Amino acid sequence: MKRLLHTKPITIITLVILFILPFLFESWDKIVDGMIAILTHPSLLISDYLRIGGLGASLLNVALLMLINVLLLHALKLKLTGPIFAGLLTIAGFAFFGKNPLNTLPIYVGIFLSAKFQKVDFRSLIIVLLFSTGISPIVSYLIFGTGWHLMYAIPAALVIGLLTGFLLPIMSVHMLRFHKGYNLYNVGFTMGILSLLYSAILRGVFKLNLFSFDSSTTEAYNIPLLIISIVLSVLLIIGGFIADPQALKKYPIILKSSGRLASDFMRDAGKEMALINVGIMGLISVLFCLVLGIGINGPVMSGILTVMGFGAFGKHPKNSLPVMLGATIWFIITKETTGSVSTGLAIGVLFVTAVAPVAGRHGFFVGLLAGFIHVLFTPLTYPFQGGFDLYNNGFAAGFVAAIIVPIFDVLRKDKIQEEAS
Amino acid sequence: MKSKQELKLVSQIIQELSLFVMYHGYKTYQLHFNRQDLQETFILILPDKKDDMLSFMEQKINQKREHEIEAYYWELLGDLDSSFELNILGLVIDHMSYSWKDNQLIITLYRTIKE
Repeated sequence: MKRLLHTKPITIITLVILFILPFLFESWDKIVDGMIAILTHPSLLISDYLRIGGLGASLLNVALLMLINVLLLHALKLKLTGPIFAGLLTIAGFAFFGKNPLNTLPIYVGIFLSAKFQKVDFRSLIIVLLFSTGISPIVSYLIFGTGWHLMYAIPAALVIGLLTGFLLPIMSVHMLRFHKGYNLYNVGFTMGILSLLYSAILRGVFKLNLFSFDSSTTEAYNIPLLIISIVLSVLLIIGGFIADPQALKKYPIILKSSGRLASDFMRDAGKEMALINVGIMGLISVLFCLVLGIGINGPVMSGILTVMGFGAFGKHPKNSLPVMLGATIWFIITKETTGSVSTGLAIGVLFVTAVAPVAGRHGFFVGLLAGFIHVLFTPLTYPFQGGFDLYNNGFAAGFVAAIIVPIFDVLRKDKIQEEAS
Repeated sequence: MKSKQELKLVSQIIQELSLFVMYHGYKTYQLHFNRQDLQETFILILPDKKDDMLSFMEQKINQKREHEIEAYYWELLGDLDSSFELNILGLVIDHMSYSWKDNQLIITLYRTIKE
């Protein structure tokens, strides 16, 4: 039964389901109209594709992006690993808010050119590539958001898209040192730095207003998305158990891991156990949404899928729950004192798991603190980077990890010496 | 990988191995590095054998090397924070072997290099 998860048919069946799913919810005409609306939207944070294009078009966007990336992985002869799985689910998630085939492809080409220039194997940049499209709004914004004539806007978007893809692999490797691998969304942090540059130029030189777009969201599809999230999570858990009934014996390997980069749970504990953990992380995410009354819109769906994806690459209940609870404390305080909670804070409860390795390393209470601080940071980093970096939580998480980890490393110095003696 | 990066990577592997054995309480150890045409070897010589440490090393290092991950995460090599953390080293080393000879534990790590 182990081969169940290792076969091509699973990938093909998943893709077929993804392409059928949109048509279960909406008609062809509505999906096409929605897709055009998505492709021509500036897509800056926060652009809820469910509001802009509807559920059918958003699901088709997910299917198209998955197809492109699966074909790319197939062409490069790459096998499914934890980081690749995390990358794929993150892309699927952000296909609900900000990524589409039009704005991602120039960045991919830029990464390919970067590999050629650096004389490295293109395959070796796959991790950066899979997470790179978090900055894809820069392409859409330059074409559809600046108000520039298309004769100038399209070449500008292509050049900046290529340049972004070219720079990301070079920059992201060095950014790892800033947070020492305790921010799981390292490419998100790198893109935040690059977005900062773009934001400064566009706001300073071109006097553009990056925050004039409608960033409202819709929860009209809460129930179907809730069902999809639960069914997907349960299927992964059942699939993992069918493929390896003894898989749970390997769960301590995952739970003992701090989750610090690069913790590939598929490699360490096997694909079966990793997928069970992915399902468990999905159910935990859904539970938080239900308990806190967070309706599922595009950004929240993205959060659920990203948390699930990283269930194969660094996140598990033991290191994620403390940071999620830390974020929840600020969520409840805000809700109680102001009566409402922003989308940014709501998704922060899920994306805060970027700093899960902090809890994995320093324990529950430091994790709680990291989670609390993280959601205080995200509203500051968003205007800072201009909304080009869809992984704003990854940008914030880099700072949170860089502040907390060195402090608590010093405080637990004695413990390390104890381990050594 | 370019040669300058390759040399930095080697020095960071050495740093990671040093830190790893020191975290495990070794106050005396020898570490030899040897580079031949297409293979690099790292030889650790330790005065005694710690089974926990050895089985952990085997579990992490004898897994398949992952070139596509290596090129991205190698910057984190040499920055261990605990005695049970060798994820990145496992990605950049092909395999390891060990022997117990003359009251010394000799651990050899092999890494093939591309032309």
